[in-house]
Amino acid sequence: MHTTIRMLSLTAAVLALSGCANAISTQHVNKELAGPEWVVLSFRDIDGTTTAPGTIALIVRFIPPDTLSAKGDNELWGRYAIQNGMLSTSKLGGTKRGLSPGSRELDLAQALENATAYSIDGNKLCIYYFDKTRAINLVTNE
Amino acid sequence: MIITSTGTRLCSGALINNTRQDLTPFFLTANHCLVGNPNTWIIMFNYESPGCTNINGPTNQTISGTMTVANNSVSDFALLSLGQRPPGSYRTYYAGWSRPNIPAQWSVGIHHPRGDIKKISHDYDPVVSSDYEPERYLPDSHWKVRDWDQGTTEPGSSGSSLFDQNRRIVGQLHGGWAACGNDLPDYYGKFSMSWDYGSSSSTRLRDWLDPINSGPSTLDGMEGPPTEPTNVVITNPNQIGMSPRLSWSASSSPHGIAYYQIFRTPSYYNPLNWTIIGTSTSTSYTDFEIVINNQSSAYDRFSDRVAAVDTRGFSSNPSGLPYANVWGDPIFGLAESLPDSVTAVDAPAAQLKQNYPNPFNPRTEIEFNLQNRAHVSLVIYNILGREVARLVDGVNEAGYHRVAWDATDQPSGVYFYSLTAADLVNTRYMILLRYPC
Repeated sequence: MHTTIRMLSLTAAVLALSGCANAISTQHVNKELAGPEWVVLSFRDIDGTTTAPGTIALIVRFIPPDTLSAKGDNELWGRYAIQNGMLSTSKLGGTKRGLSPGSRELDLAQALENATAYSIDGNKLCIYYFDKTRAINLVTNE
Repeated sequence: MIITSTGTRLCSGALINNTRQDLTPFFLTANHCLVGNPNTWIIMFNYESPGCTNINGPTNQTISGTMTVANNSVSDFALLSLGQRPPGSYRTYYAGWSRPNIPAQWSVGIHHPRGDIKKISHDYDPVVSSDYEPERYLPDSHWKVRDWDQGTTEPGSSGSSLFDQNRRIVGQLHGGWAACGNDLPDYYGKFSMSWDYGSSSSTRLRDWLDPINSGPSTLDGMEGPPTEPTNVVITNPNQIGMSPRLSWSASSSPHGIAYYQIFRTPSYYNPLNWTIIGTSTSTSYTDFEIVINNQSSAYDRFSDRVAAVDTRGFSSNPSGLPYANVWGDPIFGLAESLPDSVTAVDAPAAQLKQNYPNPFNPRTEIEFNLQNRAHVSLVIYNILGREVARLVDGVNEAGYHRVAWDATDQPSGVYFYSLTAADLVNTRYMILLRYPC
């Protein structure tokens, strides 16, 4: 089963809704979604509050042509596709090690499986989930 | 369940049997569980509800320290050696295994989802040969449980064993999509691939689980050692001049207890040099090498422990604290101590009966039985170990023999009578009790 994610144009209106990126910088060269290793910086809740990614580093990669990979305590993976400007993902499966105290791996998996859109601003990625009411902020240094 | 040094309930796993069937504590889990330092891990056993209700289980049955002896990522297995064999009181089971690449007709997973008490998941359909993450793992390296019919797995279940319809391990959990509320699959690294993968003992199971190279395709599981005897006490600590009598609560084993071993150390302050001083098929033993005194001195103090041996020959750990302690004088070198009942499963070459009457004044009778014709000596010793009478010293025919001893010229006290026949020495004691005129 695939969840549809619409690739958003970087409009101020959308950003205002999500509160994900601070501003659009046309100075930046935006990274591609696929390829780099994205590290979760924070989770943004429905009320706009931002929380830390937990005690374990959470990493996300979109690996061409279609592999979606995430890593926390476990190695999770699924599929993604971009067609006609639409992005879709499958449910994530993976290893089943016990979670460290304070780990937010389950939150990450839930976010990715329920994502509805994303935006990229330079080296920052914002993935929206639950009808754009929530988001995760990620960054890449690659 | 594997617990890390920081307390994370990391993964599941199972004790696994080997062809030597010697209860070597090998523990099968998943390769991807090898994070941190396994030397500091704690393996927790029997973390399970006592009944069908979801009640928390004991957390005190643990073994500390493990060492990885073999692992590979292809079938995602890791074989650990535990720091010590789990004691009999844990009532462990060393699981059997099946290495043919044949799908189980139905399967069972035993695991600790989210570090919770033990859960048992059932799939009533055959497993399917499969790859797992095709970009990373070899084709047909895993068994796929298409969907669990009862229960499911979660984080913390990794490494748990998958059992086939014959209750033998056929794989260990790598990962999957199964979770509460869905009918998605799980993937178990194949035992058949783990068995012989790679070119060295560090990447395969074969060398560890078939150390005698006997080549079986399957091996059944086996129970762990018997439980330790408990409540070991001296029942007559104040009977000066008598030998201390030990008693204890019986051990248990599904295979039955063959006998108990009695250990003694000569110093209360140095309870390290434990020596086996005898055996008993009952739950009591009289130590004829000691005579109880009233010294109350640490130098005269002896401590005893008891271990159980089951009919397979596996021994429990010796009983723990508190030890059974007694003040007494050693009579070392006099004779070998005897169990209260004969230990051998087969009929012994010679049996020495308790004298009758006992106590006596001044005459008593001693009976012994010989399996075969043998040279026999039956000697009486006093409490100081001096021979006071030699009742028999010659060849005797097989069968029962009865000998009388008249102790008219001996003072009251404890006497030992020792039968030597066919290289077997049996000793008992008796009491001469003279009445005042």
